Amino acid sequence: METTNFKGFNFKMECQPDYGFVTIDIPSGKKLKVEAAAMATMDTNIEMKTKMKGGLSRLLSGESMFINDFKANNGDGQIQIAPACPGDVKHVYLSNETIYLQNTAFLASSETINVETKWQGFTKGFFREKIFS
Amino acid sequence: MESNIIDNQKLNVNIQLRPGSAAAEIKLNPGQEFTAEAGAMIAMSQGIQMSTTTYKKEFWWNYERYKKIAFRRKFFLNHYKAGQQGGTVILGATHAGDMFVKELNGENLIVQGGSYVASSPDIEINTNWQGFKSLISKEGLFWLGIKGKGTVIVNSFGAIYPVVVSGEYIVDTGHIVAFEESLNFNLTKAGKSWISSILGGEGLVCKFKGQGTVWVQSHNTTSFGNILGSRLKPRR
Repeated sequence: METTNFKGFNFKMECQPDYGFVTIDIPSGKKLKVEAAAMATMDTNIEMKTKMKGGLSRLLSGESMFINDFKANNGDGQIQIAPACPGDVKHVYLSNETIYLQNTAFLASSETINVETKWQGFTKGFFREKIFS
Repeated sequence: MESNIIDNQKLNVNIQLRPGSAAAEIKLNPGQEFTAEAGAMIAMSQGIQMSTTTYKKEFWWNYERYKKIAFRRKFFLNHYKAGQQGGTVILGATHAGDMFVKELNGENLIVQGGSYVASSPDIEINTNWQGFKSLISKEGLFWLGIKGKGTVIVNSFGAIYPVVVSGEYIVDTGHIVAFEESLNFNLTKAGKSWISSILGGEGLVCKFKGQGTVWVQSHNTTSFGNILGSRLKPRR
């Protein structure tokens, strides 16, 4: 897990640590997965598609059942995203690793990252999200 | 005296505590006036007079051609006038966030209703700007048309980010703080279909065309409310 080297798409984080506001350059033809309703602005050549991910458990964990795919058509596109709650954001680069996130902590990832929600049972009382690339 | 008249068009604003929870400190010359949103005042020095005016916002929305629904909203503005010694007024914002100061020179600025903080007296505030008619019913927002010569202070939820548009640009409706009226805009769906746009949580987006600046806020109150609302206990 690397948090210092910026691999992947070019991005810029602003307004830290009070607010997370991320500007990401999506190369032509590539896709970016973004949590539902997190998009603030985007170029007109970016196309949005909504996909259902994780099914009912994602809904139960307080997240939207849907993840948006943003694809840049005909050239590079720029998108700006922000989480619903004020607070910091962090970039983590995964190379075949798994990271567990608190529910609603997921903001965006590249296409090759898998987002899953795990039901931990009532006794444990919290949910896990599993990401691996 | 002439310099005084010019001074009165401009406000001496100092924005503090950016970008987390900004507060605007306005230094007034003797006799200088300005207008601010109701409830925005945090503190002020002595000798400043305050009066309140009410603007009624009313518009009709055609519903299935024959039914009409009226929306009414009251909009209060406070007017402050400094006494003999001048003074200082500190203004805060409803949402935790940044503020920006814009000097207008006769051009028209469209500001989201809740984002307006204060303006100098020569600025005209039009509460019946209806360009976004269809939008208001959905997002619960209303818009102010601001015109004239002088200073305007606008606040946001989260940080403010100016986007200079040349050509086309898409902004989520909940993230618009203000924009120059030189821009053309139309409301569209975020995805290819309406179903995808609504399920994906983006709903309506605004497509701006032309040359001009849009001020975007990093957060939006609707999304924040959705997260917070589900965790609150029901009222008894």
